[in-house]
Amino acid sequence: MRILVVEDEKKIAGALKNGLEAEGYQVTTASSGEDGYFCLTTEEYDLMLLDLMLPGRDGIEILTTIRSQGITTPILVLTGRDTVEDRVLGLDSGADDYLVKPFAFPELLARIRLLLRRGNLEPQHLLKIDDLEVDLLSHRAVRSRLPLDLTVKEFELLAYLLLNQGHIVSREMLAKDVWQVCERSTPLDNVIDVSMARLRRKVDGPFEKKLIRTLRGVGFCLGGEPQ
Amino acid sequence: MTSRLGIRARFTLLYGAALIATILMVSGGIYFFVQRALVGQIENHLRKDFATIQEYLRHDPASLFKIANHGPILLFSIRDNGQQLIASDNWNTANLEQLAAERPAAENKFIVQQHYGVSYRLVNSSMSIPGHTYQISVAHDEKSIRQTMKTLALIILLILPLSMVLSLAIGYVIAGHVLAPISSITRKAEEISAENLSERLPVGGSEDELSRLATVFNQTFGRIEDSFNRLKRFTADASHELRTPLAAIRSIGETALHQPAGRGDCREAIGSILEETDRLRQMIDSLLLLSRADSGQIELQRETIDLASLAQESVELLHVLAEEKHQTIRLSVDRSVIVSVDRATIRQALINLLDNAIKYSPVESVITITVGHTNTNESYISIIDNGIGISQQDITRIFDRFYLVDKGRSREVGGTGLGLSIARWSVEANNGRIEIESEEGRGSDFRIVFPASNVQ
Repeated sequence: MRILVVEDEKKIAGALKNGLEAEGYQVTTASSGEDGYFCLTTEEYDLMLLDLMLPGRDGIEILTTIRSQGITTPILVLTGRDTVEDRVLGLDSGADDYLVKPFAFPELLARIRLLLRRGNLEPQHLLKIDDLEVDLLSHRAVRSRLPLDLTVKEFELLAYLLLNQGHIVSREMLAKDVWQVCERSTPLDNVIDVSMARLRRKVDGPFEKKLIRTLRGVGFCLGGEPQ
Repeated sequence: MTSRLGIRARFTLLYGAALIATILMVSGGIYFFVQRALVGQIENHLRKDFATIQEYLRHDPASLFKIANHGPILLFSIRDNGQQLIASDNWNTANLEQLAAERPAAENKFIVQQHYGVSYRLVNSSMSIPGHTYQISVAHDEKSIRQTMKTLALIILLILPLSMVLSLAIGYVIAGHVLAPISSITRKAEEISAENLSERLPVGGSEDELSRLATVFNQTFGRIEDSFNRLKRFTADASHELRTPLAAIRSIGETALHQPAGRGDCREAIGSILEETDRLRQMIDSLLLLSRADSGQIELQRETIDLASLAQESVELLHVLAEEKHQTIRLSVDRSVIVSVDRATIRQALINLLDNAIKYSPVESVITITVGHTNTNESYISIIDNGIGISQQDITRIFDRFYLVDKGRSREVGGTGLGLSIARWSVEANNGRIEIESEEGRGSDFRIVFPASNVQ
């Protein structure tokens, strides 16, 4: 999978490149809108990460030009501006998704996965990892053939972790996708932490092998090797 | 034009004008009444003279000749059928016969007539005795009246400019005296700046308008000083709060760098740094939200919502936190309470308040949430806890940004010190208010109240 990163801030561009390459993506960086446009029109990419505040032609202009040329590459916009108008402008100009800086890297990865998967996603209702099985239809979770007694939120949380198994899930992602709350707040963070702790007690407590891991300062991860 | 003059000059002019108008009116009045009185006197005199002459004519006509020569009636004449019978010497000397003959018609009427440069007041009347009809004329010169009135006018004319000058001078002095406190207020107010905001204007001892003005100014200065101090405190607190995670990041990084440690330690340090970064970000987000709120950049989307279901929702969200502390949240709602507010902000406010109640209540305590209407048809959500409570001195400041009652404890339970500020802004932006009743050691009652106008 090839990703084009258009970002003028060198530190951020470097971090994005390293992080994405560690996830197995091939990454090309461009430091201006013109460069980015040139790359996108001369080579094939599966996805483009575009910073909106660029020297020279700004991100919105690039976006509009690209879309007017009929290029359909998914574009994920990154920006420091987070007012509703900015979001709307970005999405109206042809962006597929929108992420406000500073963002959590796991969330960026999740969004990228989602965009790349878009269109060829097969709905699954039976999720499985190791000896843990979750049935999204019947709302049942089983580990080592023992049914787990989960609350509704705990079940949703587990399902979300399973859908992103092997990948890090940040608190932002949980707040947005499981609790459906856009603004993060301290109370909500506490709720997430407490719910996660309870889920772990039920899912991992009695078992030798621990499936849920906490990555301090980053988020949570179900299954997979520590990175 | 007048506005360009100073208050003192304007006051002086007005005062002078008022005084002169009064003097003019008074002197005009005096002039008029004095004249009336003098004329009245003369006319009385003439009437008496007339009666005397009639009396003599009836009973003792001979004496009239004596009177004609020696007085006391100086000007009179008696005619019989147009022929002068008798006249006083003065009458003849002044040659008044012609005058009386010229104006014979007016019976019993007083006539004023110039005659050879002298003004006379004259009355003609006829008297019938069987066989005769006499025409009697009595007159009196007005020399003395004219003289008196002339003197009076002279006095008035002399007094007028004098009093004008005097009143202007007095007005000027009085204005100066009245305005003196204002000048001192002005001087003092000019001296007060950001550096010495605690200074106050001099307030006179008396309860007059100016001391009230000075008091009002002082109250304004007090409020300005108060918000200045709040701002100072906020800046100090904000930099402290922002510096704390930064300091942590720095020391964690430096320590990690200096230890030739294994991979695990390094990860631990980075995790720690990321946690602090997250805290910083949340704090900045909250500050940004408040500063947008301050400058009115946040648009609220009013919709009709049920406070009861909003409370229910918040309880569902946070009940895990209460469960961890084995607390019970009791939600008591008798019926739905519909208000028109921005859902997201009110939800945030409610969550912040409920989170505080959970944080500052002991384990196994009960938190009671009541939703309902007050007697005055206001809608409210009340959150009552049996927690640590708030002291009277803290209660006014808990909504200040970064104000933490107990810094140590707050750090322990987590929190940015902005939750209540955000809650208050959220509620007030929706026309509501937050009321607090609290007793230290006994617990608090936080109440979100919306006026009846928010109810649809």
